[in-house]
Amino acid sequence: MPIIRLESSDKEIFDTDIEIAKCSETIKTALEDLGDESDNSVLPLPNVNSAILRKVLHWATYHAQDDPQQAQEDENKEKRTDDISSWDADFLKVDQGTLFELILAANYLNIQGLLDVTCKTCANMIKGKSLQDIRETFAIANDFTPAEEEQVRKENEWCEEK
Amino acid sequence: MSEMSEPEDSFGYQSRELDEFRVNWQRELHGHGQTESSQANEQPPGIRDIEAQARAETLYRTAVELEQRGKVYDALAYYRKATQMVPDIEFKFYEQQKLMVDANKKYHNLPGDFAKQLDLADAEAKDVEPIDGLYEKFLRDLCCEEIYGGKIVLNSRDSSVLTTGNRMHISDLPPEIIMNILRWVVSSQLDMRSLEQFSAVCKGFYVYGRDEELWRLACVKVWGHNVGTLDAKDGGACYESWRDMFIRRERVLFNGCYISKTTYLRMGENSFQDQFYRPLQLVEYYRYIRFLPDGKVLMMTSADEPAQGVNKLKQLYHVRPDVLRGRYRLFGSTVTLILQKTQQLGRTTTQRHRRSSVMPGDDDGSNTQYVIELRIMNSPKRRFAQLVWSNYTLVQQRNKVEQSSEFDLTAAKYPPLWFSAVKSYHLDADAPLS
Repeated sequence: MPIIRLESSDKEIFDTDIEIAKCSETIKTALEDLGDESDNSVLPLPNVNSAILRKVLHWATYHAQDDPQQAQEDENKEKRTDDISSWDADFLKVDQGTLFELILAANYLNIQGLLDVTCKTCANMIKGKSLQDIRETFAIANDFTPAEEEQVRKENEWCEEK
Repeated sequence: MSEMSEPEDSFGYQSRELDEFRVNWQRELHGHGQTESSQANEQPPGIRDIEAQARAETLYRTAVELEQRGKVYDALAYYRKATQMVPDIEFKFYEQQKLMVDANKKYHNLPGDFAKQLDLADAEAKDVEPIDGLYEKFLRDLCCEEIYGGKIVLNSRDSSVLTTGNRMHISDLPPEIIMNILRWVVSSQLDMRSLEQFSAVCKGFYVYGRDEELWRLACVKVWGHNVGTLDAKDGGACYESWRDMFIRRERVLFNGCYISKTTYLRMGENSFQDQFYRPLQLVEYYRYIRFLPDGKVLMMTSADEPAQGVNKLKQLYHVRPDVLRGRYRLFGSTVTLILQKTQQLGRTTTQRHRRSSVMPGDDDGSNTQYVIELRIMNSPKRRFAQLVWSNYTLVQQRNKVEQSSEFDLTAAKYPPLWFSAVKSYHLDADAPLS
């Protein structure tokens, strides 16, 4: 099994199966650029810390295993993406800070599947919620003046259920 | 008495008479009125008292209005009733008016102060003041964006003050990630309501939520190739923004379904034993139409009450056999549906046909389409909440011969469909807006 050594921002080394690491387009491109010299070389990932990289690799390992089967299913069925798999749902039972860090890591490493599922999780924290809920969920200060808030409310009135 | 700010003096004789009446009456009331009010003061103000006062206030307000219009005698009757209920209503009413004026003053001063704090020009601050009228309202949207536009960064810093420790806050995410999340929020269901809630959270989110690209994508989803442009080049209406188009241009609503209820009487079979017994059956059924933003439409007629009926249209991928599937297109204020007859002929299908009557017999070999034209109307409460039948044609293709028959759209059999929002349709993001 060919191995690539990934180095997190806090200098921890992760020996990773090259096929798993390749789910990241960023790593894949880097490997292609390196060519054959990549054997046993260390690939630094300065934007991802060890805790998050560990989680990302955990996700990648799981999905590397089920990917071919998944692809087959996708072809057979009509594509539906409105369900987050229970494994992913469990995987994403993390605090908000970690979720945001995973989004950033998925974005930086260019792992579309992980980016989709994390953004979707975040979106579901917003969907169907009132603005007060959203303020509380994400700890956001209300910086509107009363007049401005009223104005925004009026502008958004069109879609409110009466 | 006369410290009330009413234009009494201008009414000359009538007003003087009214004043006299008031003075006399007040004196008259003073005697037993005092005992009443002292009693009222002793006991805590119950709900009945509050109600009485509210009613008295309404009466008093009517009286003042009447007096101002010069109808003094009519006003007298109302003043009397109000005073009978609450003897010191005049005083209370006056105090309340003062309070309201003060509150209004505070309210209107606020944006001005805020503008000064932010070193904004006065002219810009004035634009934020609410103006009535649709056109100005949308113009102001753009102004708001200008005002808030440069503040996204400032706002993010404000928000991050609230975070504890070194945990990441949503404001730490770069704009492209936030936009990506918003595409998931809107999703292919076009859940603009959630987007609007998001935009009402804070100034930064407001700017994100008004992003033109998001709204443009939503418009393209709704109108497809016919989406046109914002200016009136193609003869259509003029729009301030893509958001404006999404809000104002005639379309169907997606976060629920359109429902109509049809009731008709049907003669039952004659009884063998009793020739005079002719049962009458009251038949009730509902028609459900759910539109999806991607041009698909589901229609079902069912005896189920809406509470259960709407759930049958929830599943988009495993559509029930009694649900007709098809596509729709918007042309101006008309929506045209083309529904394909379901292939598998289950018992439910034939039952449904019998219920909705006049459907010609089912033939397996033929291709049957229902072509429906509905006019999109506004309800008093909500835009585009009503669909009125304008055409319903059955097109049958048998041996390459097309046969079409129009249904008679009687109001009793084809009442308008009314929109009803269904929360469970939009619970989770299905796919990002693209």
